[in-house]
Amino acid sequence: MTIDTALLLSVFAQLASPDVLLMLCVGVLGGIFLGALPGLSATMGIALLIPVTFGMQPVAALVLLSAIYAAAVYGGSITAILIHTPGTPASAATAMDGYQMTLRGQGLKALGTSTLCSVIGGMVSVVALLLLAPPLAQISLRFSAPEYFLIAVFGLTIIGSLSSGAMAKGLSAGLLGLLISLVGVDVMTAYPRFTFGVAELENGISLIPAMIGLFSISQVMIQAEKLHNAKLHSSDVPKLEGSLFPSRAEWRKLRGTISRSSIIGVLVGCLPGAGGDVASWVAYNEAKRNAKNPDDFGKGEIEGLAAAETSNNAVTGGAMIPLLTLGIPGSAATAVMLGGLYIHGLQPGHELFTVNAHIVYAIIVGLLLANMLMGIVGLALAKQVVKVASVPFAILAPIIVVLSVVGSYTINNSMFDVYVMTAFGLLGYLMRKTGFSTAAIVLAMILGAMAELGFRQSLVMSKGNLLGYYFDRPFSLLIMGLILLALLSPLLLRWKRKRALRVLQSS
Amino acid sequence: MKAIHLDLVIGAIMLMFSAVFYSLSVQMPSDPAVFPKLILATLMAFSAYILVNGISKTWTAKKQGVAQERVFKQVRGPIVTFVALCVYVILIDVLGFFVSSTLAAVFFMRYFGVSSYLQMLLVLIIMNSFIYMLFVWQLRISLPTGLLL
Repeated sequence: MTIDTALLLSVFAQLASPDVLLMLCVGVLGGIFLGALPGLSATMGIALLIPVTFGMQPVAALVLLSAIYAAAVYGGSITAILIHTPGTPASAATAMDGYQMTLRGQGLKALGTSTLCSVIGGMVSVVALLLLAPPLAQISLRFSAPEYFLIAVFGLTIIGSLSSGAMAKGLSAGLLGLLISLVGVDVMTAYPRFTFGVAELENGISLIPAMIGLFSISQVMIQAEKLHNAKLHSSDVPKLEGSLFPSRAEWRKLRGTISRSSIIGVLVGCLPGAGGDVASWVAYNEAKRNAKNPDDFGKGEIEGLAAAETSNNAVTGGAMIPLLTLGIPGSAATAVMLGGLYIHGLQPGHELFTVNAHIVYAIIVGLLLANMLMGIVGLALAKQVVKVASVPFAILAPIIVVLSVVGSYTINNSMFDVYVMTAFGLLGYLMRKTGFSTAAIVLAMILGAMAELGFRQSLVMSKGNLLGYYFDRPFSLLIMGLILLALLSPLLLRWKRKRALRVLQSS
Repeated sequence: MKAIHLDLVIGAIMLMFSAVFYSLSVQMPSDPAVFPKLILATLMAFSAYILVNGISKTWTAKKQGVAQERVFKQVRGPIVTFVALCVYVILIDVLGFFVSSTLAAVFFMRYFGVSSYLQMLLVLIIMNSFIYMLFVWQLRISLPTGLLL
């Protein structure tokens, strides 16, 4: 692998600019607080912040979004360890041993271990992203219309089938998203589809207002169900004393666990749809299986904490691999980030790593810096973060609602987008209450145009023999195989996760 | 309602929805109708599956005498939130963005349980200043001023 000096200099020059450095700090700090606040997620934060990034340069904007993503996953562990309230689902496994350590008076050590493991996991995943993404992006050069159609189907199949318990509902959500993407004037024939005479619908339904509604407004409505319960008091935070870092003997014990969990995290992250929660449970179970004293897991075992924390942060870089190379997000948060890429005029695939290499590498190295900064900020501020996490949802709710409205309006200076956001807020709430995946609908809205164009072009190219045409192309066959695998893999992952939980419960 | 599984209702609604939209796509010219028809036909198949699954779950629950889980048992808060959001959005055209946002924020804070006036004032000042500085001042976006100005 040769290193392009000009590219390297350009990357570092961009990262050293004051606005990028500021966004890096804002992203890390904001992400940690966002992750620590129970009920708020990285996905919601990214959706809300995309309109805020409009006036920024692409590097500053995407460094902000990716820093929020990585830091929010880590932030969730702070409240999981100190007050047994995982800020994000990815920190649920962390709470098992982390909180037990806090109860035993080792809260500070648990925080230190969690921070260091998160940083290591995050950095390993960014290195994997740097090494694996460029060659994978090369593959996209071999793609033509049929492959683009199949890639869209592949993305929808996996995110639809993994993000929800019921596969039919997940896939239906994807189909609904595809249908929504068809609203507006058909690009090939200029025929208006499903516009019902509404002029504003002729340009289609804007993605960002729809995302804000689906993730932010629906979250406020869900929190409204448990009114007055979301308040946490700072008095709940236990007294923290003792050593911040694990002893040398403990480090020796943790080395294998951290290495194994990093790999698990990156691999699970690469699987579109499988997020940090799956990775942390799988890594936790593997650590327990390989431990000398598996019975100590769940009672404050530092290895359990390290496994969960390393793997959930290793997911972040892993999830960016299919996102940046093929345009298939690895998680709900990266699905929203894909919207951010498009808004800033960046198209995933080979072009991103050639024409826009100076931008994409700056984003990747920015993510690496975000992980380092996250460690420093985490170690310095963890105790204060818990206090901020005690901000009641009553204060956050109006801010989220008003930011959702102003963010949606900003896209086209149009109140119609605000109406769209409101309608999608209700849709998102109803979908989440009935077990449908909101991430699948967003992904389908993003991939809809690519899927339709690919399908219609391949209809023309096949000259009437569509199936024969698809089966004649090696890459089409490969992607069809992957689609089949994607339909079967949730069953395997669910079985592995259930087994991990069963093992934990039985012990 | 109590005896019927929610999936049965959802499946039926989805089936009707996709059938109506399929009939709309039949009226389109053949070229732009190809993809919508493909999607809607697949959606109908999934809807039918969810419906049949719902029927089977309802049947099983009836046999075992199990009461259906009530998914919408805590809907009061979300309904109030959504209605308030709709009123807020309508008010923007009349009162302008900043006035209606202030009113909406006060309502949401009171409804979600903030009792301290100082806290409310602080949130309003910080929120409105942030939005003004970022969107109006920095991004030069003209937010709706309403009928009053």
